[in-house]
Amino acid sequence: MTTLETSAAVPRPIDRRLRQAAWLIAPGLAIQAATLGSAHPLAFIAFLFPGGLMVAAGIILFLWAIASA
Amino acid sequence: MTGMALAVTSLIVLAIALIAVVAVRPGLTSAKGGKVLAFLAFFLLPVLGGVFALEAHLERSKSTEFCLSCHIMEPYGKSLKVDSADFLPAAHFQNRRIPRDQACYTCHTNYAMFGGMKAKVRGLRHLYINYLGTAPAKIELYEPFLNRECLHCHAGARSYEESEGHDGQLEDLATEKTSCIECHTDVHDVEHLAEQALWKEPKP
Repeated sequence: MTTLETSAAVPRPIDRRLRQAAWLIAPGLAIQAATLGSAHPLAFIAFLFPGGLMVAAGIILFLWAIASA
Repeated sequence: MTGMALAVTSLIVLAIALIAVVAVRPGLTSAKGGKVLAFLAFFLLPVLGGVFALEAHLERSKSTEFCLSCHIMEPYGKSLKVDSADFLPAAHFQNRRIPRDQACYTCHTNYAMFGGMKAKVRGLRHLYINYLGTAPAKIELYEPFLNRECLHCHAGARSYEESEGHDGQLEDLATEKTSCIECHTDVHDVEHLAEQALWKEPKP
């Protein structure tokens, strides 16, 4: 195995954090998009919590990941 | 779904797709282009999508449909259909003196600098009480209804200033010394709704 192959195979710490951020942001955005179809107050609540919270947490995790990389 | 909501949904779908690409192949971020892609996918698009979606939600929260979607507000919605010109909200609603799709918001927003913001904060409180708290048996305004909210539209109108009933009253009405609803007493009056005939809006 060459050095190049070894470095490609070993995941970097930032990769794990990016995936974690992705698991927060993507479902959060999906929830936010789903709430746009309804004019009910509960849709607004779902948009804020958990949608907004998940997206915000994911963005913070992403920023932390790139800052600590 | 409105055009704005569709555009925001498209933006969000794009963000999710880009996030998926970076999550599946995080090695892309080793290159400069990958870093830009990750920044777009994980920061810029979600922030933009969230801000535009919030704007769409806030705009929708002004709608009559939104206000009347809570069970407790149903009688107030019904009072807009009372078949009497003396009923203030009904006369405004039926004669299109206010936009029918934003009937509640038009009169119940303070026309002051932070009126809209204050109304939205109160709206959040209403949601909390409706779903997690106990609603009062009788719903009352937080503070007396100010003439300012009426005069926002009526001030300067010929029908208002030349009305016989307003003779000698304009100054007092403008300075809130006399309240509009001292004379225009039939407001929502939901306690007596059952006794009222309702207007049937003709179907287009």
